[in-house]
Amino acid sequence: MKKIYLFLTAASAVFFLAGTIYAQNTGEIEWLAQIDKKPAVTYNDAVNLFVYQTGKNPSTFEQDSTALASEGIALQGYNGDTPLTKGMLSKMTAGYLKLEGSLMYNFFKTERYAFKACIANGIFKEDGSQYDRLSGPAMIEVFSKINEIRGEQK
Amino acid sequence: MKLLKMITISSLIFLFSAAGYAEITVIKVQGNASYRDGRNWIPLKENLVLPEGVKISTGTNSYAEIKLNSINHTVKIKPLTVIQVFSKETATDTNTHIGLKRGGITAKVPRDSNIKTIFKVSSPIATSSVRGTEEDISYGPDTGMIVRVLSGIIEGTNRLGRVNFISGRQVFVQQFNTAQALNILRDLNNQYLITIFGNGLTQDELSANQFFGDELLGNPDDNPSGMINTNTPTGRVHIPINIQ
Repeated sequence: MKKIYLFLTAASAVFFLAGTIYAQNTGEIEWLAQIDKKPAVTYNDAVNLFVYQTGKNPSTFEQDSTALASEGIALQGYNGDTPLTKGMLSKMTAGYLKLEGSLMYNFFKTERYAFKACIANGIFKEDGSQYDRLSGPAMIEVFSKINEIRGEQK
Repeated sequence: MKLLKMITISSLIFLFSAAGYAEITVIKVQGNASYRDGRNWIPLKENLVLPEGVKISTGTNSYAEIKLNSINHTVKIKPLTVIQVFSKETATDTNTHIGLKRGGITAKVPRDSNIKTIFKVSSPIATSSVRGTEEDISYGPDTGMIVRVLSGIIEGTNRLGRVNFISGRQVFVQQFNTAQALNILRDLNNQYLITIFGNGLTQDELSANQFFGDELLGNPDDNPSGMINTNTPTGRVHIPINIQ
């Protein structure tokens, strides 16, 4: 009887551990698949993707924002539900990549000049505005470019 | 009679089965990369054999490399990419079609003169066909489809059937709202096609001049160091003229 209990306990432990590893590995992919379908993303979505980008798993919005603020990525004055604009994502991206290429951005760390710096670095096209809202696929495309630039920097 | 029927049927089965699916194998994985099985995403592992029509997705800072058939056509999948792969192969030809939903890939298609190769990568707005050996393709809703050739020639075709052949440092850029791909030399604006040295000579011309300059251009007695001064960009050229 004892042996059966031991066997069952070990088997369930293996099952749960395997489940946890599986969830960790595919959680990001499943989340990206959901984002792909969104016609408009929020500031919280950008925070989550930056958390993945820095090699961690997202937790609560407050904790993630605090963690990103320490790295100069998080924005102030927005809550998680705020629709994400090109200007907002530009400022987060400029903070993450330590972008140069715009003299004005070096003086004024505003979303407007961060957007110009992103255009100068090929992250956004010129024919847009900092107030344009982003869809899920458009936000992921920006992160593809961030990955490319990070690859070049390494 | 029965035997003849059996032989015919078996040969037909053999012929049709020969035009089968190629083996899609995972070569390398870094970070989060998964393939879709039904409704679930399953993590990729090295040496895993994937089914025909498989959908693959990669996460941030993640890469995967897959082999598409027995003649080593490979694709490196970049971060934040979603692709779907169809690959068929027989003894005489290969037919590979990759659907690029988002992100980027680098395709390597080594040529085998005995095997007819069809290798296409399609995005929602254009298709590229590899005619050479290596290409870099990306697609996103903002920038459109961008194809760069790393080696050989590729053919870029948009939804309206307009074709561009790309080689060297040319680039195929097809955006959503344009009927035609952008200028294939757009990356070369204000740049150079080839490197030139002093006197406006290319590396080959410079080498040729150093070896054969005297014989080609004039009398070595007049200028023992060669006809063209290659030390300074503003060097003068002395050309003896004999008028008889």
